[in-house]
Amino acid sequence: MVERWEEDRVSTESVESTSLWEKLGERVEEAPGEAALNLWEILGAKVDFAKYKPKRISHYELTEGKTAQGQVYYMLKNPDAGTYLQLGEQELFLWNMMDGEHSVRDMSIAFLLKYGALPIELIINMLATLQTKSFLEKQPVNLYQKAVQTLSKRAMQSKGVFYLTALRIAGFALKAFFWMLGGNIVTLRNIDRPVGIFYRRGGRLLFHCIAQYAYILLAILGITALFARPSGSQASAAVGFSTIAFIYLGLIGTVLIHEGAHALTCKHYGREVKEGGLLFYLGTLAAFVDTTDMWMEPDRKHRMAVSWAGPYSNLILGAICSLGILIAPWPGVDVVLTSLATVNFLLFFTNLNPLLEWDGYYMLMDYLEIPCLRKRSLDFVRNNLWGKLKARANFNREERIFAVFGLLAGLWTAVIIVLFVIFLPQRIIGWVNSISGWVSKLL
Amino acid sequence: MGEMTDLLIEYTDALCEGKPIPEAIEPDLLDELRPLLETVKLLYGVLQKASVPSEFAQRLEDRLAAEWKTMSERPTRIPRVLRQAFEQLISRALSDEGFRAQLIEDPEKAARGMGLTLTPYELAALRTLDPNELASLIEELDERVSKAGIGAADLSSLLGLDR
Repeated sequence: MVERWEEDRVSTESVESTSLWEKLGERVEEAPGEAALNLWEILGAKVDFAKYKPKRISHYELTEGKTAQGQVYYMLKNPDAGTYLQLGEQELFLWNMMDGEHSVRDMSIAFLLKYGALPIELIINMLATLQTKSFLEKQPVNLYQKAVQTLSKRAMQSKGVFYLTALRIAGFALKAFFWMLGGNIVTLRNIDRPVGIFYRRGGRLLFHCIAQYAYILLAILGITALFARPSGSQASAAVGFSTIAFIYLGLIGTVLIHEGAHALTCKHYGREVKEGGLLFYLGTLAAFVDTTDMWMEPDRKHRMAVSWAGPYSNLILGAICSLGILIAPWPGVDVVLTSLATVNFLLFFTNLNPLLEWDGYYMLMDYLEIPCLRKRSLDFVRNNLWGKLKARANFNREERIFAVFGLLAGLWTAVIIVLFVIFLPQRIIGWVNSISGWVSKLL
Repeated sequence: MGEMTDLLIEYTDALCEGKPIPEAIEPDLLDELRPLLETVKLLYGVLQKASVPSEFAQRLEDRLAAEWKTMSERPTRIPRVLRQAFEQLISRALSDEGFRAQLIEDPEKAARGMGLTLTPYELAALRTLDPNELASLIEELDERVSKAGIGAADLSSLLGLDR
């Protein structure tokens, strides 16, 4: 019924919807004279929110999913901008009407007839989010922001060269600091194709059930071997350059296998690996792969499997190294394998920590089915928690999660940042010492 | 309403005369009329071979009209001629928060305040308005960036290589 009425509505309105200049032209032709040319009325209509006709992008992807509680949701992807959004059923209804033909008023009436509510706030929020994430055509240019930037730049120039230089240095230092807290170093785009080829030409065998049983067996044997090791078999401090070289090669291999596991599992579920590379995360140098496209996978277990694949690969590699120590306990090999086993088990546990944005966080987020868990929890702690505690108000399920997770995540992040700042000079000295140590060993 | 009645008459006539059901009945209209049409079909099915007394036909028609009236009070369709008034109300509600609250509380009074008269269908649609703000389910999604790394200094410290 609603659709039928809407069709009628569109057919009557489409005749009216012409450009401003066409309208003005028609008015002039119809009735030349002052009264007929109501420019302000036309301009008013152009800025009237009720008459605004949002138009969604033409190239997008949509999948349907269901939460554990049976609630239906939709994942929306803009493949060109690489952005994603989750919609509810009501938002999907509005999204389907955003064809550039229906005005906000039309959408409101149709929504009212279908759901018995006026979706004004809903539409406003939705339009803002869609615009930010590039899901609407005709992105408005923020002229005001540009003007402010230009003016502040001019003001800076007028303050003199000294202040400008000082500010530039301070800005650079601050930028470098934040870059080390979280910034990309090297980004490799278009890695989806090679990963896909690798998966099809044999990588898929890693997901065979026999391989899965082998992983479990290896993990059990490796952990047993770790505890069964004689107490005296620690890595010797006297290591040569070749040993260090092997350790670092092993480390690079470990990191590549970790990220490769994520990427291959992502391909296993038919989704895209957007990019990969190197970055800094809270002062730690790390390799990365972007598997954001897994949001389009409706089954949360598959999404969790992609996140689990990385740490799981470290557990298996650690186990293999532990077993290797038992099989080949020669001095040089022992040091390399002990180091790699330690690094792998360390990576396994580090990545399962959900309080920072490691793999464990994504797994927890998928398990709880709360996107942006970290951001929303920290926002809740910052804006709502104290008010609710003061008022002794009840907390619903989500709010309880936000409160506990937000407090723990906020505290843990603060500790890590403080430690990073305190130990930054020591780390720099450590890096210098390491490099000089390697050079002296090499010589 | 008139369109619906015409279709209903056309449908019952077709049944009476043993003709095929008109294909012109659109699927969505048919859905709405289905309960009524099923009743008509049943009754006429029984009396198909006998001639239907005019008095009975009249009573049946009255009964159907009464049923249709009850059914049509549901806010499913707004007559074309009255849309403009309804649209004016919604347009104002979109831009005026105070008016929006008034519209939800007393749609008739809000319409009168604007010099507009609403039909029973439109009023019924507005009376069902939920006063609570709709919970937005639109969610931005995290970038899923899997990371693995251990700094060179960490490894050096771990192994004692920087000593």
